[in-house]
Amino acid sequence: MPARNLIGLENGGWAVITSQLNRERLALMNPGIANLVYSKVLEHVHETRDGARLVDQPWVQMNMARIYAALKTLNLACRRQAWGIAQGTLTAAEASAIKILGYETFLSVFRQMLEVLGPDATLRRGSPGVPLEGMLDVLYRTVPVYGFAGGTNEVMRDMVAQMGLGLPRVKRA
Amino acid sequence: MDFGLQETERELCDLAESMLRDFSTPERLLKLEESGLRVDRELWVALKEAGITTIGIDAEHGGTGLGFGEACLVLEQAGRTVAAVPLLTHGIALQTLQRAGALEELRRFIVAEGWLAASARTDRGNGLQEASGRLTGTVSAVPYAPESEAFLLPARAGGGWNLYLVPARQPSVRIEGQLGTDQSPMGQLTLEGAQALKLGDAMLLGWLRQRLIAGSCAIQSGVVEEAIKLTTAYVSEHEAFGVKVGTFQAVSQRMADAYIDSMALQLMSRHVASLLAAQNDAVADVMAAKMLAGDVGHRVLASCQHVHGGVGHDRGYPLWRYAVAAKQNELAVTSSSEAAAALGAVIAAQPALVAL
Repeated sequence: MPARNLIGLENGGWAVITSQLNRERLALMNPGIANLVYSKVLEHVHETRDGARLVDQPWVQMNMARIYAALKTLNLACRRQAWGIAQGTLTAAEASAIKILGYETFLSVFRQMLEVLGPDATLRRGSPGVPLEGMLDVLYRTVPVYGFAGGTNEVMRDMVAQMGLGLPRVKRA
Repeated sequence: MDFGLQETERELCDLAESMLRDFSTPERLLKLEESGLRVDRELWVALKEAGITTIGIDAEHGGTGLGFGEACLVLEQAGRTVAAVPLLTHGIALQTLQRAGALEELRRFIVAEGWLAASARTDRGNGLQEASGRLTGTVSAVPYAPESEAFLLPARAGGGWNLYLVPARQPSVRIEGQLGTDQSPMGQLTLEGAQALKLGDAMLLGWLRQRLIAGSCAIQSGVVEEAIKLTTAYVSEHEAFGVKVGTFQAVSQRMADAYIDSMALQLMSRHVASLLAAQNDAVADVMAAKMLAGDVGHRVLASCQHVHGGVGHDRGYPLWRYAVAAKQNELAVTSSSEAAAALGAVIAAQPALVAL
């Protein structure tokens, strides 16, 4: 290997792998599954049981509003980045930013959905009476992995600070 | 979906920004604030002459043309420069006159020297009542009411709310000056059988309210963007313990979160601006944008002031103006929590409202 362990240029492999990483970060934060679960939770809160709907409770409306707003933002941000990839303009700072936005969004919206579903929400898949086939139980346990998978979020924030904001670079020993 | 700015939009942003920035120097703003009325009349005339104040008004009525999306891009620049001009209330009041078909009044206020004030409040701070075509009662915190030409105001009529145009200079109107936290002029109005022109009912009021909210989100987006720029520059130079403050991970990580917040707010703000350019009603997303604008303004300005230390509160340094502007915008028209409640009510009424 040596040739002084080339990283930049020669045949341009470094640029290929880093732009692949940008795409990977967007792909990891695909909001499709969250959109699907949101639509199922929306159906659930509108169901009338014993003459009442969950969505008529003020705190449920607040949770649903916060989930809607967060998912709307994430959906827009992901589309904005897909557009950036198509234009060839997506930056590493933006791709790092989406990873954090996605992670923080998933972490909070799945929690708020669990609250709405109530005590049955923490039943494991396969249990009788588990809501949404246990999807939320699986999802909330999966999300923390995305804090480090595909680039640890603190490293992502360093990249945002240095490449997005232009803060001074720091040597990490 | 196209997320980029068109060439004409970029030119408009550049023109508006350079005019607003030239006038809105810290020294000039301080002088205006000390004068007792934080309105830059010279800048206002310049903006009028350049056609910036009538964006979104059709050329056939004497406006500049273009639409609500372009008007909001200009408001972003007003946020970035914390300019002392009533662009939001005047612009959206004119657009409401156009929407209501009050074309004679529209033409009159396009050429008038001053500006229009507007409020969409229907909470306990608005006690206006209509009786036989005249308005009576008190309404508080009407932005840019002092020295304005006229006000757009909601008043109770029968069982609901209507929207009225009220000329400012009439004996039955008393204006007490109030000062916003961002030092912008506001007014407490007391009306005693004031002449008023009915522009529309609750439908038009909702139309106005959504646009005032979307406009305040655009301003907030600019305020936040510029505050981050100022802060980034400061922590890149300022040193503590012999090193640049911006190299501390506690500082840079917090500013990275501010960058992400700002990115999200700009997206949501431009999203609702383009929705409202194309359709009358976008209440769910307008409320979602306002929730974000309030939360982001609160979080980012707290971060920016914090990493500045005491300088962030110094009146001789520009950042504090952004901090008070962010709070003014956060509470303008409606708050994050009230907007969340409004969005929740929409969700309760619409079983098929997906967030896609």
